[in-house]
Amino acid sequence: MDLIISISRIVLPILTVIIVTKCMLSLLLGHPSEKIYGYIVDMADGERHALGMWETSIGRSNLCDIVLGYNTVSRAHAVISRRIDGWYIFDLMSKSGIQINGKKLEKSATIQSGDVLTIGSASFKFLVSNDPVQAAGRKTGKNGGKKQASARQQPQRPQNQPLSGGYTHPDAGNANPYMAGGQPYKQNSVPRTGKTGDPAIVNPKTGEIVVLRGNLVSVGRGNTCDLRLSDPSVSRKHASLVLYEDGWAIEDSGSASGTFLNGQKVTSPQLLFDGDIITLGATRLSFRVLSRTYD
Amino acid sequence: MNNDKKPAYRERLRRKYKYVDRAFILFLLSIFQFFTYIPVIFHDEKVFPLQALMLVGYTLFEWLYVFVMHVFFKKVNFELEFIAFFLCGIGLCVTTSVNPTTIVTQLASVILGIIVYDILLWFLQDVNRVMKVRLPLAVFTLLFFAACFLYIRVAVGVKNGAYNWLYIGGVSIQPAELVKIAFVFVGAASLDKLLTAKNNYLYIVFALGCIGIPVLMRDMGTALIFFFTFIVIAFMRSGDIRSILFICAIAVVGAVIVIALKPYVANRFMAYRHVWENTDNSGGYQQVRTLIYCVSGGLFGLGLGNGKLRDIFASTTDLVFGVVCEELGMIVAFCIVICFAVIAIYAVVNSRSAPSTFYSIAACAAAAMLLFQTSLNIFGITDLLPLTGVTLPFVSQGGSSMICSWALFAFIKAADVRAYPKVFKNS
Amino acid sequence: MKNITKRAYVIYALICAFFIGLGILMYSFIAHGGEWASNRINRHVFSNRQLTNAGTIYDRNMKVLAQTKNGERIFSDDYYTRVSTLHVVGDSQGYIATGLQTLYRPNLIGYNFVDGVYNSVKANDKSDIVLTIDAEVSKTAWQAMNGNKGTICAYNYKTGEVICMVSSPSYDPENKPSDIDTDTTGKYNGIYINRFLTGVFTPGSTFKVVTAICALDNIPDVTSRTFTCTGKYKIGNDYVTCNNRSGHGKLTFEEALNVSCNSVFAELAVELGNDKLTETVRQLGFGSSVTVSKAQTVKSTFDLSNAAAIDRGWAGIGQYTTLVNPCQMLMLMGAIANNGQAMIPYVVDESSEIVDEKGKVNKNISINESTLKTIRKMLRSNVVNYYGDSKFPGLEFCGKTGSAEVSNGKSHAWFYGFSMRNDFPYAIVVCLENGGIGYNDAIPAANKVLQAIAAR
Repeated sequence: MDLIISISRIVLPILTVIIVTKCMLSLLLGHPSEKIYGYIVDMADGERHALGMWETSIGRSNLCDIVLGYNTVSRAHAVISRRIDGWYIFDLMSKSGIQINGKKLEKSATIQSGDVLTIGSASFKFLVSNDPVQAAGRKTGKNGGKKQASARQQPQRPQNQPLSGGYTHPDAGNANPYMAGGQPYKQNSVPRTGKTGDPAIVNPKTGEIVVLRGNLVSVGRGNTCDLRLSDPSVSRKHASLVLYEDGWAIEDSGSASGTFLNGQKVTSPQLLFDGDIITLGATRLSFRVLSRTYD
Repeated sequence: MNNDKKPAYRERLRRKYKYVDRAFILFLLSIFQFFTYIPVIFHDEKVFPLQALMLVGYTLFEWLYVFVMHVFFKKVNFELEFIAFFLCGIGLCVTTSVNPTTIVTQLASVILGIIVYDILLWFLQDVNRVMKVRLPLAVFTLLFFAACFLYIRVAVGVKNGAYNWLYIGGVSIQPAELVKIAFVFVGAASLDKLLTAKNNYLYIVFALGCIGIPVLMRDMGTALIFFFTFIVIAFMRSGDIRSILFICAIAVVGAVIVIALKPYVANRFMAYRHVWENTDNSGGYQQVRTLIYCVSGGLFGLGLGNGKLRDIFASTTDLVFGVVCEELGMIVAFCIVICFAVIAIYAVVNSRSAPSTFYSIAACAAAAMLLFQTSLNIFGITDLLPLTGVTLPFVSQGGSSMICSWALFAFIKAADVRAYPKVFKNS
Repeated sequence: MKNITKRAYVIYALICAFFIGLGILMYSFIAHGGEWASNRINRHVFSNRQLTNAGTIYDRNMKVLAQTKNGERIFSDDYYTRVSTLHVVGDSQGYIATGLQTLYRPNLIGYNFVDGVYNSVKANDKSDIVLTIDAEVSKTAWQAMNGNKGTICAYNYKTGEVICMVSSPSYDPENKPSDIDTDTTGKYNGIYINRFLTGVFTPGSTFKVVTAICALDNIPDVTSRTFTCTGKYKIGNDYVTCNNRSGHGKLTFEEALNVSCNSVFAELAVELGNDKLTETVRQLGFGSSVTVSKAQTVKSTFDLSNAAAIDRGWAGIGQYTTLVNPCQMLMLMGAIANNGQAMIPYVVDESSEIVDEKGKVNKNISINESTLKTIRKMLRSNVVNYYGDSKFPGLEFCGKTGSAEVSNGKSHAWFYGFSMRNDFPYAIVVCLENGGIGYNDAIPAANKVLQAIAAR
């Protein structure tokens, strides 16, 4: 017995340390690495928001996983959720609601790769890469498996290709709100030079992107303006964008209808941040910091 | 260059440690248990055949469980289970060695715990299903807890200064332990529920009930554990530091009022940090002996059965850390408690890749609860914290505590997609 | 989800707190382990709060002084050995705070952080202690004290090892008197105290050595001066009486120390002044304490801050408020004998723990070299010219007696000194409480012990 005790005094601590360390290493280091399951692509400017977690909240608030700078989007608008039987979208009782492929969403619904989600007034294309969960969803077969065929063909780095060329919706022609919107993607008509981090004004309606250059950009209906808008509710010389030391700011140039920043009337120069919404008459523009390179 | 290398290195690490070698760990566990069984089976110049049968049966059960789970359910990851098996094995040996007749109920509760663990794990795999049962479970839990309390108050009475024991058919149950499972379950919610429904208030009502009843039961340790877990869950749900501080302030005021109105509460903590002046009264009796026998064991222990702390009251429940320290040594004892800290780290680092916010919150809350309980236990008996009389998860004797610990492990496990190999084949 | 999972980082606060707690726990296990394990509650080594399971304590000749047999603590089988070594060995209940069974309890029970008390439980022999004490010499010392209270300690001034350390009153640990705690006659006063380490006594004439060192340091021509003793030393209306009431007449400095003339040393003390005396006393280590095998000695007290000239005179001959510790006196002799290097005494020769107090020098004692030579010569002259070499046959002894007057009309008999023989490097201190006259009572006791050491 004494022999057993004196052996076990040494053996037990060693075994303990081995067992515990082995299990700990596996627990701490062996868990799955982070991975991007899919994207939602802003159809106005082509910006891609990665879906890197099983649940992703979408909204205007900074607390959301995907922050959308449209003021038609509620603070916490929606949750896109990857569940074992497929992808879901939940409307968080938002004001402006959600449409899936043009159909109003009640509370929640399953979604498939390629669906167009209209969140507030902005439209997004929901894309999923080769995902086993999606495959599981297909197996249960709620909406048929046709759509996934294109999802798998989706190139891994589509930002290098124009969206309109690289992707064809299987239901193109009838239910594609992208086309139904009637506004072609005007990537070719805007200044094509721009690097990641450059400030730009985006017209979500037309998809037009103007990269801000110099230190003063005037905005208005008049011919002399650097950024011309054809909206009659916009004054000839409506507002100016001025480069301050801290960054770009907007100020009103004595317009008739006033300039609004994120819904607040601009009375003095206001610094602009990524995602800010500028309203000039009936036109809405968005100030963005480009998240990729145009060339 | 560097950026390319890093993920590749991380990926290599991940592959290397994706799972432990099951047979190897089971083999080590069996050797470990062999060495701890012998002094339990043969002591006082007697042989204990029933105990021998049951202990060996426990080791065989471990092999069988892993085999069945691997072959029929395609599971490959058993790290949490191995840690739990390891802790339960030590608990079984210590309990049996101090009091050989308890092995039947103790082993039964380990197996019941494992069954609860697997059922819960199966149930948790679908968030939609989980979300549906939260509200009914909350209502049922509150009613059950209140009913238990009233029943104990009227029909059972005080045991060890608290009203927290229930007797059903000769088996004693601590309802508070079972409520812990529901507390975590109800507290966690998926992201869409968290952001839509303003159900924080409902949750606060539920939590208040769960914290209040143990206070009325005079079970301060459990009340503290519930309160702490509530803080963790409430913070993870809302991120609202101001409200949390406000709640803490209210709790402190409440505690001061309770102490002012009920002096016996304060009297129980009188000896805190003064145990060496109270070596022979209830204030410091257990703590002083725990400290003395902890250091007497040294790093390697005196051998199972050779301790003296085992003769002190509550040696297999509250003081079990001291008994392990003395008889198996500080290395083993510290490894046991470090396990809980590592599991808490695991719950945090894994929370991002959990299949839902529900799992993240549940896993973090469960891990925090276990670690907090462990801290209260080991620091309570060593006089770094006031002695509150809570158990050490898995190791302490007690059926309800064992089942609760296994169930909390199910929450932690469920947050790891590796728990469901059939569902998430390629994740 | 990102935000919510980020909030999970609060749990790291708990984890940090947990690890800090574990760290504190580990630290206190390391820092207090020995103290806790040797607490009387620990039933691995104590039963009924008596030390039972501990290593053996041997004297320098490997004679057993205390051991555990069949779960009981038993002491030497000789009565006188038990009584005379009691204060060194200590009792099993821990009443004697400076006893080794109290101070070395962690070692005796074989405690170490790695193994706990495993060695003691398994009766390994790692926990034994060997002392420098000689049981036979201790016995002789005990008998030489002749029932007086007090202490005798002899040590090797070159190494610091203590040969005998006896404190009286003492008792038989195997047969403890039942009236020890109820007695009111005073016969057991301070029985649990080791007087050598933690007792303080009025030094009397032995303190003249200190005054002499101060004079040698500060008065350049003191050795060539001639003093006159009239039996009294007067300052104003106050006076210090001499031990020879009719006066010693004309004396040199050396003769004054030989005959221990109060008048001369009072005069010197008054002349030196408070500051110089205090400074010398400090330099000789009287204000400090040392550790003798884990036992802390008490500090001697010498305070002239409110002293008038006459008080200074009394202080110069070892009266006034001065109280000295015998260990300090022994180290002073050690310093004089060992060229100014005062070895700190130690009693533990070998134990499971590395004994690091061996051969340590007391840095608080310093004497300048020329003073050292003179004072050594003068102390030798005391024995040769006054006490007589026949008092210490064959030992070439140096020393100084003292008869310290205490309030009740009795006096402590003191002697301290050292041998000049290179092969017999021993110093001794004898202090017999109310024991009479140094010359009559302390010198014979010292000689008996020294002869016993020499005869070994």
